[in-house]
Amino acid sequence: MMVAMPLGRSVPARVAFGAWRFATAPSWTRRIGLIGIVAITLLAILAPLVSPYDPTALNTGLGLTPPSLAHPFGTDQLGRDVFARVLYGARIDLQIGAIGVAIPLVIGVIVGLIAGYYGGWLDVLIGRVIDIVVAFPFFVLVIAIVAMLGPGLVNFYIAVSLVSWVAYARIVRGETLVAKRREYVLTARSLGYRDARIMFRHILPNVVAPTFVFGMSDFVLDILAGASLGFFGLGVPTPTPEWGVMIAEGRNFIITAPWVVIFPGLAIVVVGFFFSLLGDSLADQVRRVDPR
Amino acid sequence: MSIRASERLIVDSLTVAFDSGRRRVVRDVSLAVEPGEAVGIVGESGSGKSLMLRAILGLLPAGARLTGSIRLGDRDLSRLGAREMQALRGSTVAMVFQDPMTALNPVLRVGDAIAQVVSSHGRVSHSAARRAAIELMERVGIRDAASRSRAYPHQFSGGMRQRIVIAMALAARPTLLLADEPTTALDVIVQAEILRLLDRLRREEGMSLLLVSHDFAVVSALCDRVGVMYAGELVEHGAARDVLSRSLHPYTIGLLESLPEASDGGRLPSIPGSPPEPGDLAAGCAFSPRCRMAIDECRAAPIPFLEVTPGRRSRCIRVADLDVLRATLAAEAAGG
Repeated sequence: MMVAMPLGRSVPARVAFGAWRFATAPSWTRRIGLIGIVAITLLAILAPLVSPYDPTALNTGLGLTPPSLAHPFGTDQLGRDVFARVLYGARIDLQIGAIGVAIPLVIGVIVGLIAGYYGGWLDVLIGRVIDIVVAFPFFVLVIAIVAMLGPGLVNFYIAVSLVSWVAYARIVRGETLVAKRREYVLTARSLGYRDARIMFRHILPNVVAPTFVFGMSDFVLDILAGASLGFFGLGVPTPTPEWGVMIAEGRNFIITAPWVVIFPGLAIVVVGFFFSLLGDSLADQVRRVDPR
Repeated sequence: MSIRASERLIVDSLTVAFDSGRRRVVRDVSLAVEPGEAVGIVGESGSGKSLMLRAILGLLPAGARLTGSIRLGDRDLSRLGAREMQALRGSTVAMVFQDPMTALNPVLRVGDAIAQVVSSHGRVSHSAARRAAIELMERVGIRDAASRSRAYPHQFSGGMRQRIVIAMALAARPTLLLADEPTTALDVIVQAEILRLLDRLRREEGMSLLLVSHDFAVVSALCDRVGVMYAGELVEHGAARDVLSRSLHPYTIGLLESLPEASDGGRLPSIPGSPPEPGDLAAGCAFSPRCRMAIDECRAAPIPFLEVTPGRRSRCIRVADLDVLRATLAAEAAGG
């Protein structure tokens, strides 16, 4: 054995992908990451129970009050409770991350599998398309597409899906090129399986893990992209609380009332931190798991 | 289980070439496997024997060109469309691969892997396929099959994995089983068990078997007839017993002489030189550069595969003089 199992536990590598084993694996980065993400998700779901304020309720008499017991994160220029807005904003931003990862991941995995498995002109064609998309910086392309389609969440998802599937396709294509030369694929072919079955039931489970790792950092990137678009006025329409929009609107008061931008900014940092921890431990696991 | 009629496999002048014909890795191989018969091919690694099996399955690597014909019953496999060939694989022709450590998908539970073969070749319910898988695992000698069916490949030993590979190959009830060095990756005791299992299953199922190995002992344990392959072509062919006891080709004689069993504890005799590269073959007999018996005639032109006695063929024009070679080798062995 090349790899010593930590704590003498003989966790069979691939099987450890089961949800329970995964959550209880002896890794502090993973525990902290998971606990943090679960906590933030719960806070977002239970926002009405955590904060008594309506995130969109105006209270012009109370504009820009500093943090206090009544308003722990202070209020913004329109007297809205920043704490409530950060909480409700988590709903939108977590959704941006989740959908912004899920759709490109599915598209990229399918395209990458097909390119890697069939090879030939199809692979060349897909490779060219990937090269073209990769040639543009991520943010520039997303902003350009959203600017064309118009602001709003749905258009944002369309833009992200059009741009970030290439990363997943690249990962899966490379892994598939390796996996399809493995003998179990030859076995599968010798048993008369159709290509679709070989690709999705035999190769896919062996190549998909690295995309989850990438998905974790992509999640953070999508939240940042969503926030940036909000900052440019291309994001979520104004009354809806979203961290990027909050920062954009609060930037005029950054000297006089810094809490209006600091707290949504911190929220992005904290979410990014927890997802990075989880992604990091996932990456370790994938590396340890792989017999290659 | 009932014994079904299997079909005759006839391979005729099969040639597999790479680099648009420049490297011919399988050269003009003709052989037949009668229904229910076991035929073995012996050869060194690189002699083209595995590629020949893959040609029969229609699974040649990209860039390989096939000429000649492969007939199974009344079908010509070499001219079958991709779809028809795919339908045939698994259900009519199946293959057992060399290395059970890599032949199984690491993320599939073994019971599911076997059940998948069953369900992909017939309309059966999920639970029926599962039951069939457990039954198959019992038949290939895996104890406690019901609970073991939920384990992953890495939780089995090499011998047990090879049993699972065999169970998968048999799951869709093929009539012709191809085995590519099925015991090479296993230790000797497990090897004997797997060979007995293969032999038993072949008889129970009434299958034909085409077995390929570098090991004469493996082939002679299972097969009625044996072909010896060198540099992509058959050099000798006959009943297993005859080929072993009285070889009709210098290569076979050298091969048998170099078995540890044949020597009496001294230094193992070996054949001088090494097999030729597929693109760099001698003009006449491919073995002539390494052959002690070679004369000018051997190097002049390709040697035909002649029938020496009924059912016995050899690609050596000096068949009549092979006793000289045998005597020399015996004298050398005695002399130390």
